[in-house]
Amino acid sequence: MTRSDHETETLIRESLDRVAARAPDGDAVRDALARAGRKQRPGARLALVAAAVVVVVAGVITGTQAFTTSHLDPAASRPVLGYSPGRLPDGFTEQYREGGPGITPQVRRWFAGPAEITLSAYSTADPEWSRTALRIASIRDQILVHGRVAMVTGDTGGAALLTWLADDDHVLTVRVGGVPDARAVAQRIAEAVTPEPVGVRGELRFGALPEGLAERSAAVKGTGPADASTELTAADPARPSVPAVRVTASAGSPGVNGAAPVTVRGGQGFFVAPKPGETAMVAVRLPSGRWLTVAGPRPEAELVAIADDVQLDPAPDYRWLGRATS
Amino acid sequence: MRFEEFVAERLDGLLRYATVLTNDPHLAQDVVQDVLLRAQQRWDGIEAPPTYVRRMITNEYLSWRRRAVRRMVPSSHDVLDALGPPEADPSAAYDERDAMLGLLETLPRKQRAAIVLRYYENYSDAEIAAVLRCGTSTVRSQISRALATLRTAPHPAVLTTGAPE
Repeated sequence: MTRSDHETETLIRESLDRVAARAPDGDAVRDALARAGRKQRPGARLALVAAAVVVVVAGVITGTQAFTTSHLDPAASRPVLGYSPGRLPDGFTEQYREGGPGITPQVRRWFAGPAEITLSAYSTADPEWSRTALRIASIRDQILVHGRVAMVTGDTGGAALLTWLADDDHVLTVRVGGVPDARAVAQRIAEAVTPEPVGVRGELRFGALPEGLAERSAAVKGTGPADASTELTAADPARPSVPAVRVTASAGSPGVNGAAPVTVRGGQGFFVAPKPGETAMVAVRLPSGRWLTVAGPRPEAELVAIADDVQLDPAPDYRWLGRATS
Repeated sequence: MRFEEFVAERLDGLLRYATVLTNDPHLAQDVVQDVLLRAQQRWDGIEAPPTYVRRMITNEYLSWRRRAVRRMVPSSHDVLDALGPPEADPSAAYDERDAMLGLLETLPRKQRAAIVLRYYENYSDAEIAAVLRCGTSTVRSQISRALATLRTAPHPAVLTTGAPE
């Protein structure tokens, strides 16, 4: 059955209005235009400097307020993850958190031996997840989570993946593996998920990055504080889902036998040339005894420059590692 | 109108237009930014900036989309059916606007552009023809064919949550 022209036109207008509501704000475009305009018009520098002073002052005020009102700083290297499980099966401990700026997926993982639970949050502004509502609607295996239709995929008895929209902006998934009756377990976990934020504060932050790279994600992992590690990734903004450089800090040696000596952070470091299947890596032992590595398909000088500029956080938060929840 | 004034006044509207055209906020931002950067270079030589910029955005969409489609999640009904065929069960019902958006995604890009210009921007046939650089008869034909497709969007279902009665 087809609808009338009037009904169709009304529905088209409403649907297009719905899409329009997802339009980005213009900040990024204004910034790009301002940068281009700066290159074109040196005479405008004075006004821009004045504007920059205002921005800096405002930034200091805003930054101070942010610092004093919340220790959860949503900076790229210290992301805030927006969701928490209200309940988990006995024996699971949290061993992984990852997030980043913008629409970078947020991931939390718990393990109990070989069994694993992963709670992930994605933005509907991410093209990979923008069609989730439609996809859920078309899938046969549906259940209700928080009163919303969710879909179950990959249900094999011992593993299941549950996907639902927490709201118009966020898609959540719970993946359960290595657990009997995984589907029911995933549903119980999903029903108890709350929008309670947790922070990710590792021991590293990016400093200056070479042109063509932008901060992508920060992750902390470990079975407990004793074997904790931090990993930052940066990516080409044109391909934000593909890490181009990985920076890690951990207790374990990265393996530098046969590596070429190179000065990193003012001391003795190592450059491991790329091998088939492996990218180039720069490594250096930090004064704390921990190892810093920077790896990726980039020139040696760039990897060294990234390592030189990385900032060490003296107070990482690894307390939650190895616990059920923070 | 100076370029800065144009941006201050029109940027948000251009981003909404581009988002509706592309159905992808990131691609919309890329398109608008590229177009404005180019327009900025030759601003003094542009006679009717609102029309010019909107036409540029539309042209960019028509060419960008071929490249962008590789990173978009496929959402044609064939693909969705392959994932799991829709059933008569009312729990499978979904918002009719989602259905309409799904159908809009299946339109050839020129038909989609014509529909967006007509129903989002409220352009006349002549204005649409100017943006798409074609005749008004072509515009009417594109819209007519698009409407024939869009009329098949399902009617509202009784249940939208799948909740058992």
